[in-house]
Amino acid sequence: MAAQCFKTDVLVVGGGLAGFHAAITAREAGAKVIMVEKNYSGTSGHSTFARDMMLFHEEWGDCLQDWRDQFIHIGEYINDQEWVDILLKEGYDRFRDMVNWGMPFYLREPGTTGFPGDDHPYGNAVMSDKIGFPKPEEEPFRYRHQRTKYRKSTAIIKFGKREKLMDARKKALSIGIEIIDHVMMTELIKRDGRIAGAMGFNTRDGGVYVFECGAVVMACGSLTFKPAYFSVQCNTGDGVAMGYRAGAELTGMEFGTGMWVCKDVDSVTIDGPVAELGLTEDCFTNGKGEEFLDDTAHLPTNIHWPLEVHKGKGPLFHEPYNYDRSNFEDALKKYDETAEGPWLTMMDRAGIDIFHDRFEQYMSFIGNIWPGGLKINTKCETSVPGLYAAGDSAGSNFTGPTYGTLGSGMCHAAVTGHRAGKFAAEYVGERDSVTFTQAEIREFEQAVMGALERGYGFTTEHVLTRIQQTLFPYEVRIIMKEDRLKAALTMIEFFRDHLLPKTYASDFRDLRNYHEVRNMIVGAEVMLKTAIMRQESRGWFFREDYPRRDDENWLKWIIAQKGQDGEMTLSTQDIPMEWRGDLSLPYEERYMLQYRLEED
Amino acid sequence: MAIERIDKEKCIGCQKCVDACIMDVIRFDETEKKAVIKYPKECYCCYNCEVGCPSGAIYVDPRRLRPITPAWS
Repeated sequence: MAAQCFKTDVLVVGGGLAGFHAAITAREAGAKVIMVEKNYSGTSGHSTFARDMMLFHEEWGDCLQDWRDQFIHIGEYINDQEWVDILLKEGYDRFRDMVNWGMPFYLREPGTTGFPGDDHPYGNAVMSDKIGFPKPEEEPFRYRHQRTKYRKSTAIIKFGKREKLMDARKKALSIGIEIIDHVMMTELIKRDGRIAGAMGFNTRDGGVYVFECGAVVMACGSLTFKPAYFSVQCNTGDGVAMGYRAGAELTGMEFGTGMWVCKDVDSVTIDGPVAELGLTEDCFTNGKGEEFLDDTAHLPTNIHWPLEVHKGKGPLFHEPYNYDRSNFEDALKKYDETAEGPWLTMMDRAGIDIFHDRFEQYMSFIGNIWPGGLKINTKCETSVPGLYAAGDSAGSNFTGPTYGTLGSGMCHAAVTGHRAGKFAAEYVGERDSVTFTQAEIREFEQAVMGALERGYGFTTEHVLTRIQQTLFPYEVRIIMKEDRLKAALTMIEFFRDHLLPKTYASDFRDLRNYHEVRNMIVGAEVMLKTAIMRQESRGWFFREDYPRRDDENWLKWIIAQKGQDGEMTLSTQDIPMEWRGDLSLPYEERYMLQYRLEED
Repeated sequence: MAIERIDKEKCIGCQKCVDACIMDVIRFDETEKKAVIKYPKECYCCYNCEVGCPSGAIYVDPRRLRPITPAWS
């Protein structure tokens, strides 16, 4: 089948919340826009499962300084504070955009004030019943993530339905955006040092797609390794890898994320459901039957838990107190309707009664969701002219090494998506587009489809399993040490140099798997090399060989880039002095989270 | 394990599940005009298909077919 060629001004890669904001904004600015998605735009990616968005609005009594302080304390001074301010100030306009597109949200119960979680014994179990379209300046239902009390300032709104992005899709189609689904982009194309297009293939019929365009917005989501947490399975670092191969700078890649999962039903994190159902009397015990979390566990920390196991006191259990399930009937029903997944249904089918059964849990290392990605300036430009990034693909450093508040990822996606679309449309302007020759197109076809022609060798499943076996043990990326990080890097390099060239794809669907593991390997290499470089601990980034923050040497961002010779170069950029907080404070005051590595 | 069945009697061929599957597990059989499970090993139990099905034709078990290396055992 001959390659299909498309010409457009702005190509948006990725059909999630960031992609829709970018596409709609660019289109409304007058650009011709194509959105391309490897799955289906409107039901795919991490955004599909997100149900919350952080929303700041001074007119509703929010204090900017309190919200900033929360982000910066939890981010441990590694946040890009310019981006923190942009997110807080522009989130409201993006929320109004989404309402105008036809996305419903949970509404405040008439006559109520304050936040339901603040004084209710079951925390967020009290939720609004009303879903609709808030009028301008009308405050929607908002709540605070009560269980993690150090996130006490920020407030969060709830999307009114699970298929929220389908309303964005309707809006996008109605204003003339072309949406192409089931096409996975595999490589960017540059001419004279700037973006000229991109290539990919259809995962259903294997057709090669070549796009000639003036600008690309990379909105493919984060770098994960298909972990035990279903929300991120689409997000295999495609944007990060394509950008890296095109020569763009990456930042924040050393930071990683873990999620708490029930060992027997590990597809969904249990942290959210427990918090949202207000099961505040639950506790967590170690293998000796002791409660092991202290007050700082309410911080967004994922370190105390694996540390307990590292000290030899595992396994870890979730211990419910004996709740009367009937107290939660309403909350249960609402939770299953609005949540990431029908979590209670899942636990029921696995034979686990969360109100009465003790169950084992572990932490699943996911990858790099919120912290890192393609380095962007405030116009969402990467270091490659014509390449923009938004959402989890973008490394804005807004959150530092942790996740400052629930809902900040969606706020980031909306705000960066809008900016990327706006500035990509401006950039394209009067630019001449490039036309590729037949010979060039044949080269693109070979690059995209090559793995299908082998027919034998290693399977894509084998490569994926090997990557997971290398990165998922807690002692590699959660409780880190130089020798183990280097051991993991040695394996990743072996997969890159030996396994991948001998890997074949069995059909067009499997070709998607091939390109995904190819991208995961690129991302893993950047992730491990930058983690080796940062010789300190900070937030969720914990190294047992450097268990303290090093403010003297490491108030910096690490930047990774492919050099002229194809090898990775690493550099650093200092955090501005005015963002470093009060360096005269004693260590235990400056940093709320204390790791407690010492043996008991 | 994972997506176990799409009940042909109940399936109305609306293809909502085909579009909703984040892992492209489900395809549409043009002859029978019904949704079919094509790549069950790729299913990560997100429940998009079962939750979105208008006729309750789909059943998903919460445990995947493909095991994932745990952080610790």
